[in-house]
Amino acid sequence: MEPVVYIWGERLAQVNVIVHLLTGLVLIGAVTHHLWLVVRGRGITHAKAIRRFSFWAAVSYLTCFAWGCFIYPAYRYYVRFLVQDERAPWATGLFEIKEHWLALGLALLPFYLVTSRSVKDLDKRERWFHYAAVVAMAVVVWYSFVLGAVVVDLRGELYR
Amino acid sequence: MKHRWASVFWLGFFSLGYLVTFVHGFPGIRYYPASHAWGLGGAYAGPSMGWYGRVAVGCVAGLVGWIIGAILDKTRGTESRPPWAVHVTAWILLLAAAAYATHHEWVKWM
Repeated sequence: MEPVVYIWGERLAQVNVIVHLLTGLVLIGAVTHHLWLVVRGRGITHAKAIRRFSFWAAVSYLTCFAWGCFIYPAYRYYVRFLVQDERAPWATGLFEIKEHWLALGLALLPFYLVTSRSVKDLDKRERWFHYAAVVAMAVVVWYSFVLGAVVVDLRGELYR
Repeated sequence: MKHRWASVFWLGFFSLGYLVTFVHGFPGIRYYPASHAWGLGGAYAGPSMGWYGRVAVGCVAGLVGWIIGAILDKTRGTESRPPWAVHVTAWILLLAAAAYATHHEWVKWM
C-alpha cells in the first residue's frame, strides 16, 4: 500500500541515520580526547594534538548537525508525531532539549575552534573560557549521543 | 591569534538571537513536513518544526556578531583581546539560552 504522505528525505532516512551515527562517533572521539588532555593538565602543552582534535571535532560537528537536519523531518513525522509524543512524551522532551543544546553548540563552535588552534597565545583569563568551552562541548555531545541512542532503542518498545 | 573578537561576538549574538525566539509572540519560522509547506507560526494540527527557524535566527544573529567582531579584529589588531565583560556577557547569554530552552521543553513535556 502506498503511504499517504511523503516526508522529505524519508527514502534515505536509514542511510542518513547511519551517516549521522558515524559522524557522531568521530565527534565524540574528538571531544573526549580533547577533554581528557585538559583534565590531565596537558591542554596547553600538547598544542598540536589539541589543534588536531578541535579540527576534527568541528568538521564532524558540522557534518553530524547537517545530517541531523536531513533526517529531522522524517523523525519529526514518523517517530515523534505518530508515536513518541503520545506514548513517550518524556523522550520527546529530552530529545528536544538535545536539539536546543546542539543548536547552541553552533554558537560555541567558532570560539572553541579559534581558541583551540592557538592555545599558547591565550592569556590566563582566556584559558578558563577555553576550558569551559571544551567541557561544554563534551557535555553537549555526550548528552546528545546518549539521548540519540535511547530514542533509537525506544523504537522497539513504541512500535510493539 | 585571529578572530578573537569575532568568535566571542558570534557566541554572544547567536545566543541572544536564539533566546529571543522564545519570547512570546516571536514569529516562528516553521516547516510542516506532512504538507511540505513553510509558514510563520499559527495554529496547526500536524507536526511543525520551529527548531529550524530558531537555528536560522541564531545563525543570522551570529553572523551579525561575527561581522562586528571581525571589524574590531581588523581595527584593533590581532593582539587585541576582548575585555572580561565581553566574554562574561557572551557566556551569560549562552547559559541563559540553554537554561530557558531546557525549561521550555521540560515544562512542555515532563
